Amino acid sequence: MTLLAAVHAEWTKVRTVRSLPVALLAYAVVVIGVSLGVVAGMGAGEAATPDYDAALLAFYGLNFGHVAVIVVAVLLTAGEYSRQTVHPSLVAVPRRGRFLAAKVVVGTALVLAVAVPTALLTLAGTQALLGSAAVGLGDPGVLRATLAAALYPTLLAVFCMGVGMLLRDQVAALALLVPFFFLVTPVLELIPGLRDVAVFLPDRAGQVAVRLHTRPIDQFGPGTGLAVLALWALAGVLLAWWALRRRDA
Amino acid sequence: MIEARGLTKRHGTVSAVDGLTFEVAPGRVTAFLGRNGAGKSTTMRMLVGLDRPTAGTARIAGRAYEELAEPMRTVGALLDSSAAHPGRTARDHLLWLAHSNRIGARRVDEVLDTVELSGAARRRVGGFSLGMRQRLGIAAALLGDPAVLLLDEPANGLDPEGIRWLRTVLRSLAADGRTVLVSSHLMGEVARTADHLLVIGHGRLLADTPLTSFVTAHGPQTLRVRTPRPQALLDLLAAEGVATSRQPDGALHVSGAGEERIGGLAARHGIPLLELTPEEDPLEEAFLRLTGPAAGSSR
Repeated sequence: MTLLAAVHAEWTKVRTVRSLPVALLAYAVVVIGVSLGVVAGMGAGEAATPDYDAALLAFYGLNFGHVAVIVVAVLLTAGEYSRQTVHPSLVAVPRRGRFLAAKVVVGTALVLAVAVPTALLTLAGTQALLGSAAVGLGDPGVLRATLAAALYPTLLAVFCMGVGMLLRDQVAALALLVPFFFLVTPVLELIPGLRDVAVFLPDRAGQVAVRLHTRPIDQFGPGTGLAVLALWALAGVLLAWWALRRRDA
Repeated sequence: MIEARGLTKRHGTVSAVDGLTFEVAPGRVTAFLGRNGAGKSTTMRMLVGLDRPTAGTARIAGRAYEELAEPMRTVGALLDSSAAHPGRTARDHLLWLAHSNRIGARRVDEVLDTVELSGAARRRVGGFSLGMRQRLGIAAALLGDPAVLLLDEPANGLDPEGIRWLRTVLRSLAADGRTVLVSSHLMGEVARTADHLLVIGHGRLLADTPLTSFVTAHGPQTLRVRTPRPQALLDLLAAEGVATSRQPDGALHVSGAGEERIGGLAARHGIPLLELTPEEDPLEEAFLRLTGPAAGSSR
């Protein structure tokens, strides 16, 4: 019952500042905008190549949407510490587990609520540009890839909320997470010796589920990919919970 | 009722709070005094579960703070480290707090009225003065109509009118039978507001006593006396064996004798007195003596 009150409070916090709605809107704009731009520019050429993956190209904007997802997760968690609002928050909700649970519930729901329509709009928009090469939700794997295009950023947000809570510093959390998921993991995947390990990193594992076709280097299928990402998310939240219970606020 | 039992907080080998045991009773204003770094804020933070005690326990209304289901309905806290998001309006700040403890929105408007912030309710906190932020923090503490109030330096940033207002609020909260613990470094304010004192130094309890007996026990022994016939009084006191000294402004400093004795002696010898007062602010003197370099933290 009081978890519900804590969730209500977190929801009120989210809707009474500008930064979070702006970051969520930015996510939708970036994912849809970049995907449309890429498909408009090189969609026709790509569609003619033998290893063309319609979903991978259609959801290309997700690679940039990462940044907005990370910002949302960090604002929700480390942001409380950087602004010192965590003290009134924990005085109001002194059970640390309940406080964290309420944050994760609200953060997950928010990202999911934006990511699902974003994925559907992205698919509809990009395929409208492709004419005869277009795929639809009825084609094999497309519904799954579209759902994954919503679940993958959502689970990534949960993982980042855990990291944000752990680091307790907005700038540090952004400085770690943004370059890591924007630059480091995609490069690691290109290095032959590290590739086998890199595919297990949160975003790489999640992206496997957004492809229509499994690549030779992938060691697992889409379902397992999302499960690996979910494990990262769970580990992040559990680690944050452990730290939150032990530490002084 | 607030109870601390052997409350201790160590950071490495440094003790911020060292075995504090005290009770804060309802129905009066208890001032929590100590020099900077004496452990006041750390103690307050442990009382509301923000800092984990290294040893000992803190209980409010018989329970650990974390065990209170809707704590704001029992305890109202204003902490020096608390902040409201600058982008949120005053009303929205109180609204999320209210929601967290299932307190109605009507109460939000009531406390905004109590702290005289209704006019600024829909303005963003980022544009608030220090005094307005402090009023907002007090509003947040009052939100759950709590029986226990913990206020860390509530007078900070308030203008003289605000300080007078705060004094009235604190006195009426205590008169309602609530438990009121207020930390402060403004001794004049404490002298006018508090009934009881808790004094700490180096994280240890130095005094837990009514205000009046604290001043009697530790207060200044020097009196300032002014008279139109200073030489006559000097001679008289010298004959009585009371130490005196003449000040540049013509007044006398007298130590080793109280107001009654000096006033009586002067009257019997027909020496008119224009002033007979403790030389310093008595509470401040008492506080500084008790928490002086040997007892207080030097930070």
